Amino acid sequence: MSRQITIKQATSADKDFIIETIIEAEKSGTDLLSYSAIFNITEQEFIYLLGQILEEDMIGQELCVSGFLIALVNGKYAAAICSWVEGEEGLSSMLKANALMYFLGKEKFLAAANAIKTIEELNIPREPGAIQLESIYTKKEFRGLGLSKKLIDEHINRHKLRLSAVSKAQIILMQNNLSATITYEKAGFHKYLEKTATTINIEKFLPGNSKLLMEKII
Amino acid sequence: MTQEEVLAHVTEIFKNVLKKEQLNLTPETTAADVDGWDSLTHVMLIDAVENHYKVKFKLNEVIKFNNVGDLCACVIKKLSA
Repeated sequence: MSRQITIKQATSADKDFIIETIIEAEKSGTDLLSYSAIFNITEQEFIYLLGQILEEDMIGQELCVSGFLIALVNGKYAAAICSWVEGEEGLSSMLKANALMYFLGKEKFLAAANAIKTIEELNIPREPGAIQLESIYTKKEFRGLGLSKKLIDEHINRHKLRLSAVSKAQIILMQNNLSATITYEKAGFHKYLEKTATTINIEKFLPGNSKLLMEKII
Repeated sequence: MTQEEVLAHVTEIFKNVLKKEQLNLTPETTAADVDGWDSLTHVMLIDAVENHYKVKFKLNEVIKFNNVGDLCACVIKKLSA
């Protein structure tokens, strides 16, 4: 059976698939949803929160519908990736914090201070001016079709057309996500930095204790 | 209230939240310029400024805070409203 692959810009009509993408990418092949663990909310509560944040479409961070490109295979949702250029709209971490603060509530956000401080150890700063690729997800039945590479190439091409000075793309992922690492290496990325936490209980909040920064010069 | 007065108050709030005795803020200062101004302290700073001035920022206001000057300008606007 022939497959017709289409790449399209996400719109609010794709919100449910974007939510699935963000959650599955965040879980990184495990059952742990870091947002639930950090903010002490259920997955259903996070889905509701995420829906509200996505409605705002705040560009420059990963919880933003219009930052996503979607791959359809024969018209069916198959894969999605988000991207932005770091610093173009402000620091992505601050933009996301603003969104979480507003919709989760300051009290709930600040109640998670200890968890946030714990995961801070694994924070890898994003380079201002570099393309950031986040929330990379392909549904199981569509893996092996090269969809991630197609989406990454399309994201990079679109940013390059818009901002010719952009010269680098970055992906931050959990180090234990070996299949993703191989996929990104095939897409021309190389491992640039690895950070491992010394805090024992960090795996209560994140699906691993080590993060990887991969880069591609474009 | 002038921008200089608000900047002076905000500087004291930042020193308190960031636990820094020495901190020189200007209207152009951004989070990237201040060691320790991360996502958690950002929310603590917004919370402290709101409590100090008894104001409430909207989401579409805080996402436009590109620097300390933007924050001060928003405080002044709210106080004069």
